[in-house]
Amino acid sequence: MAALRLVYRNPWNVLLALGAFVAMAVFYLWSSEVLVIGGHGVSILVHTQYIAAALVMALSFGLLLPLLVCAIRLAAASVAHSGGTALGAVFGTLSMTCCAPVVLPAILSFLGFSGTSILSVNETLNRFWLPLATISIILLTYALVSVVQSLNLQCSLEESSPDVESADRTGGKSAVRELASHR
Amino acid sequence: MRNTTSDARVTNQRKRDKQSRKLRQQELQRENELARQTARRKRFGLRIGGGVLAAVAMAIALFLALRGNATGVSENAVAASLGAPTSDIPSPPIGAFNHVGTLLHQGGKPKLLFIGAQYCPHCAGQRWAIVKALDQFGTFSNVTSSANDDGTIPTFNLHDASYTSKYVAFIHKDTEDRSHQPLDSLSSDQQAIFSQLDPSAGIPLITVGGYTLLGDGYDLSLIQGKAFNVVQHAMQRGTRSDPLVSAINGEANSITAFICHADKMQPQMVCSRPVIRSIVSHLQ
Repeated sequence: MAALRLVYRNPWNVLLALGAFVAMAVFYLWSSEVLVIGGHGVSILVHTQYIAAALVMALSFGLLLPLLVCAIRLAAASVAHSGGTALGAVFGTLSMTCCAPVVLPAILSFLGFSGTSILSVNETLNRFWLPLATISIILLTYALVSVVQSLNLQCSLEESSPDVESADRTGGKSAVRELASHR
Repeated sequence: MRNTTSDARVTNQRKRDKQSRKLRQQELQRENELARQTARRKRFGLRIGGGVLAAVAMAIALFLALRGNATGVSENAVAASLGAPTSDIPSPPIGAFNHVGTLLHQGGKPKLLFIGAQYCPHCAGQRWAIVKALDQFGTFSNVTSSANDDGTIPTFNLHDASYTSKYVAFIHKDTEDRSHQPLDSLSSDQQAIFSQLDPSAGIPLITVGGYTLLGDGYDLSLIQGKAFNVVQHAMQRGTRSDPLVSAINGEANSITAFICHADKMQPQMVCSRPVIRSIVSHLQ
């Protein structure tokens, strides 16, 4: 929790989290056609399950992003953290499909798939939207918890180090100073 | 003598300092190692606990996905009648349709092809306008109301319905039901048309008289959450102040005009209405 407190003490990180949350929520709701932008304007189809899943995934992503950025600056982020976040976002996008998905069809048609085979993929994705959304939430939660742990460990190591400068050798001088200045 | 004693003291002091620093460093290393071990233990525990939780969550999600959501669905036979024709015109007159130029025929008649699915709310919304338009050219039978469940949008279930008309052929394909079970398969011709007119494979696809609609013809938030009977009664009464009634009637008039245009303005009783002539005058 110390890492969360330290990272979110910076108002820019709060702003980054908020921006990421809003952007991902809008993207997920748009790609699942809950948020419809058409000739008649903008409307929202109340699909409670989709809206709940999109908000949970967007919230996890928004919360995670500033922590991941901080961990990368401190060189405390591993491939699992970044990969888990990216995969979580991808599974989230795959789960949020309805009747005219936007991301996958573009890729599939670029690869030469026919309209009916893309429709079959769309329908399968839509059928398994709940497991896909669950995988996404699990991956994002895993990345979130492990990034917080890594940052906590980094903080405790730095506290026990003779001086802060020695931690600079691991990279991210400014981030270390930023964390140190909050102590 | 005094200098020698002093030097020895300094040397001893330095030795003590060095030993003390060494001890502090060792202590720090031990602390770091301890912190790492604790973190490793915590991470291991977290992985085990997280893994179990994740497996349980996945099992529940898969169970729910495979079980589907069609339980408790009831469908009632209904009349296809949606009231007298109106003079509503969408803006622009062809609504959300696009001119594609591909005219479909079957048995010498223009063909209206609908490709959608029962789980798709956007498909559910469009069946109202299709039924209203086609009801003027022929007769529906075995029409049922879908449970208020097609993605929260009330609609007709046309899967088992039949349609007879001297003027237009109607092909309605729902590729999957509400539980994502396969329903209608597309013929090779229909697959080719679908791939040609709808390369991004979105549903619904409505194509008639060289005009195609992909997606919504009107704002679905107007209809969502309403019961089938409420929408049908509003349509039958023709409440013009109701934006939903105007929207459905407007789209129905566009579809009617496409059919008339492709069918040499037959039958006159339908196609000679001023509103239809007005929309036809905008068609290519």
